[in-house]
Amino acid sequence: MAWSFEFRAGVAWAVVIAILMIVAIWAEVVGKTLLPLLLPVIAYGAFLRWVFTLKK
Amino acid sequence: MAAAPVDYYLIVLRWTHFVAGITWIGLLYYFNFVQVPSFKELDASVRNQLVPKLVKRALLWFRGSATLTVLVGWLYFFSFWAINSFRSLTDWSWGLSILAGGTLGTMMLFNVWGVIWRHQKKVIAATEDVLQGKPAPAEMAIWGKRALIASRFNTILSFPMLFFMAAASHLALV
Repeated sequence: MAWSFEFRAGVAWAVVIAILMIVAIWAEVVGKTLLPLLLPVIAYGAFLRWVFTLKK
Repeated sequence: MAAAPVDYYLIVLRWTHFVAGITWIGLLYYFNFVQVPSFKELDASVRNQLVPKLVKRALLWFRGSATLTVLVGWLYFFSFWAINSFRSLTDWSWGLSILAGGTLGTMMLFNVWGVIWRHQKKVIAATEDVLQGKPAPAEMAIWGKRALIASRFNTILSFPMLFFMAAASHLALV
């Protein structure tokens, strides 16, 4: 895979969401609630919003 | 101890989830590691021939297997959770891990339908028009770009997704 804009953008968003998922699991165990699962879900919503703003 | 009917139900769901998942992620890796770099080396005329034939067919299997994987996966999750009396997920390593992997997998499914297929079907239609002598639309480049970003995103996210799926049975998180 070439180190293109598409690759860098895809990696950046996926890594952020993966890290947030790890944080969410930790917070779920510590806080005894599933609410932190919303963290990566909200970040994914931001990704969707961002990808549709690309115009060129 | 003989297997109960519910065990057969669960193993059929699990096997279906595996087969569909291997098909989905296999095609995802094919697109990202094989097709995209190969297409860059091909002449536009050859590429235009392959898009309505090879890519269209591969994408049909891709989105079909993605949908089956996620739907059967969630059915398995809720079935197994119900069998375990809906125990607290925050105290249950299996539940936490599958929930994490399943959430990532569901994001990937949304990308398949909401970004990749949404744009690729326009690219395929436009390519078919080009083959019939019509001009390519100006938006074609951005359709391909958005689909490619979502595809790259899914490829990278598949690694933690598969980690959490495997960790459910092989790593204690709690």
